[in-house]
Amino acid sequence: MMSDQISSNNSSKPKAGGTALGGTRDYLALLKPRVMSLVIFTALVGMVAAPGPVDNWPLALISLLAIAVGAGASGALNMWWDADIDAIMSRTKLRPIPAGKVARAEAFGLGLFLSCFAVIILALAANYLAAGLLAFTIFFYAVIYSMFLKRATPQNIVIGGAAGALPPVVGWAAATGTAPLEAWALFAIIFVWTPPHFWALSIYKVGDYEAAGIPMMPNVRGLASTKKQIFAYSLLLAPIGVLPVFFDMASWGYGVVAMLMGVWFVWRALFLLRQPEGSPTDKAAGRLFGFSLVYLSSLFAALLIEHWAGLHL
Amino acid sequence: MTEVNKKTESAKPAKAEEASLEPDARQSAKPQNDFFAAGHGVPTGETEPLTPEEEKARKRRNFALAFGIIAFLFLVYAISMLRMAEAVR
Repeated sequence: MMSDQISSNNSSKPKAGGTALGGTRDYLALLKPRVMSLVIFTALVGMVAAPGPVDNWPLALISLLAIAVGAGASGALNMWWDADIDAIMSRTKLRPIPAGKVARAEAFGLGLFLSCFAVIILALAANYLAAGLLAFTIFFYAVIYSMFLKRATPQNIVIGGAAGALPPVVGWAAATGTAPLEAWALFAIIFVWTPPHFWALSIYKVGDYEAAGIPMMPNVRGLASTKKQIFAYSLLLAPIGVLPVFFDMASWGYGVVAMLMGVWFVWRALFLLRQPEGSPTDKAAGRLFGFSLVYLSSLFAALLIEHWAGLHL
Repeated sequence: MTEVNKKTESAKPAKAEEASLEPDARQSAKPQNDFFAAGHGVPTGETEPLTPEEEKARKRRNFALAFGIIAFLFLVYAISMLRMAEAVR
């Protein structure tokens, strides 16, 4: 399977010898900087929300850098593997490999180098638990999600969402050396948030996924079923968003933000669900996708502010 | 592709060496495009002349790699110092 995949991807090689003309910007683009920034943010919240003050900020910042580099490494490995489908989809066809700016082998080498770099640095700066969790995150995203789940099942992003949900647990483990239930509450928020977020995207990019042959929910189960599942997940997400209050990680200031944003999320999902059959749902899906980003940022920002401002006692 | 197959002067001894190889080894001496099959370690004597832009890009990549290794060494050193300082405190 692997060799078939590789040979099918050879068409996206920039030159016969694999020599590319990519600049720094192209290699940075391989690391998915926007995903990296979200990972840094959620890992920082995991560190700050953990009990007790952060003892050594220089070491904590180096740990954060390692987590960010690990996220970038998994992005490069994902682009290495998915070069063939990235070349088909409008959203991804300008990525460095399909654009011919970076050779696939280079992306693979960069991903491996940075993965080792990140895991070793985190083990030294924080502890083995955090480094092990980071290594598992990279493995889960690059191998389990990219190589197996993505092209095999419409539940790809449901299971694969675990990789994106792990950074706050890694941050928590880096700060305390433990990963208790409280840290997994932060994991649960991102894990349950991921399906409605990606399915909203896949509704207005359904043609792309269809052309690339990726079994996303809208092109496998249909639009009506996807909208129902988005609504079901948003109903689940709203109470899960408030969990940190019950785990004594946040005060009711955070709780109010989480409840309001949760209700708004459900309302957006309901609006999408109520779009009549056959009507263009792209706009409603696009709005839900945009709001889902605001939702996650708001909840984690509220947690961060509470802990930094000393509002949570 | 024609440029790629041009042989340089230094290729001649390698060509003679290739002729002396067993048929199976000669088969594997052919240029490979497949990622995992590349680099069997059998010299083909073929070189790919790079354009000035490609040479510049390669130099940039080499500098980036050097920077990555130096950054790694620096971070290991910095972490050691910070840990020692922590222990002293």
